[in-house]
Amino acid sequence: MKLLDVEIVTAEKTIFSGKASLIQIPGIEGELGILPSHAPIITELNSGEVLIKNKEEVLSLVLSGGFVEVLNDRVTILADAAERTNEIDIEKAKEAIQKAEEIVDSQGSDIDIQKALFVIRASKAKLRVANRRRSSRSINN
Amino acid sequence: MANLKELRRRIKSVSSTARVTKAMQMIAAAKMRKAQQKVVDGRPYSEKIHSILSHLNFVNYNDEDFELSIHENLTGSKELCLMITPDRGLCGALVSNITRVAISNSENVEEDVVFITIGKKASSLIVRLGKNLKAQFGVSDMPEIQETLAVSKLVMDELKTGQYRSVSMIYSEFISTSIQKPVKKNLIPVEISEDEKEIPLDYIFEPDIEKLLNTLIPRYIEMEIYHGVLEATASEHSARMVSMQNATDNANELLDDLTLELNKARQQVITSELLDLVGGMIAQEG
Repeated sequence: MKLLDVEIVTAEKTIFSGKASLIQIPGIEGELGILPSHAPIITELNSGEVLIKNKEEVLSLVLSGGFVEVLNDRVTILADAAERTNEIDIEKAKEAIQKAEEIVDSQGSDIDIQKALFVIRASKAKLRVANRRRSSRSINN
Repeated sequence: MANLKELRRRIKSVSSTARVTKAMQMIAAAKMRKAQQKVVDGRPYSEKIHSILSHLNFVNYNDEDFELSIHENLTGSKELCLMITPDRGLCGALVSNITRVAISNSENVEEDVVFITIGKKASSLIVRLGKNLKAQFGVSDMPEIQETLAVSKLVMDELKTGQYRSVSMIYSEFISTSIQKPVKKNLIPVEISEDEKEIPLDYIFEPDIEKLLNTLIPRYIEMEIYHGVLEATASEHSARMVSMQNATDNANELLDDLTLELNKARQQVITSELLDLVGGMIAQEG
């Protein structure tokens, strides 16, 4: 069976590199499910969850914005930030949101506010996905 | 006796120099490890975003007049050149190597190159050569992407004025701890990678190509500049580490020579004192 070559990179490092039979990504215009032999596509990404399926294994990651290119069964995700869902620290994310909101309220420089808004968006996406994962896990158990 | 004193003074000064260079070497080594890790980790993103943009050059657009929207702005005759150097010296031939590339580059097309610099060495060089300096920036020893955003914003704004025909970046690429290669990289127009020529492509674009490029291209500029800064930082710390190591080695070698000389001088003094003593005894006995 044909598989997808998936690579998820951020400016800091490669988060994931491996094979997948299906990958689900948060496109700017809605969720995208990519199977092998998908037509070439380039799209912007929303913040949200990426699911990488290979056989029975499912890996969940959270990413906050970026781009994806699918070409010849190669999926390249350029994420602004990405993290594996099981490594998310909920407390830290909440703290980050609080700090960032303070910065936005204090009306600092343009770049600071842009940065804070990005942190808020990214952290909220993290919380959303992490909470959903948690609750679905408790149902399964 | 004066010779002995002089030697002791020199030994003291050389050994304190050796201590300083040793300390600088250790600091550079610690920074170097982090910077090298960062540049190696960051390379995939830089390569990928470049390859996506270079793929876009092959797209069969339905609209024949369509060009990468940023290329539409390349109506001028000037070249915008971003030059990245360290703030400080003591890093071997690194700065002069970059300088050589910059000078040979700007000599071919007199007057037409506008420089933006990152690092004090670059800005003082451009000023000294009397070239056109648009702006100068500085980054920390461990640059974060936020520090380079102002640079990339200026580059984007400059591009939109339509005065330029290309944007390039001169920095030193980190190859290994002992090798750093000064390079000139063309950012815009986007260069097509060698191995990817002539693949006809029909991409699906979401939302649409215009909007996508409006976010993709600034991101490309941001990332390439940030990555250039990372390469430059890793090169700087590596070069400094190596040159400080050489300095320390040289100082230690000199110290060995001086110590040998001191010992010889000291022995000579003792010998001559003994000779005096023996001479005196012989005279008394006689």
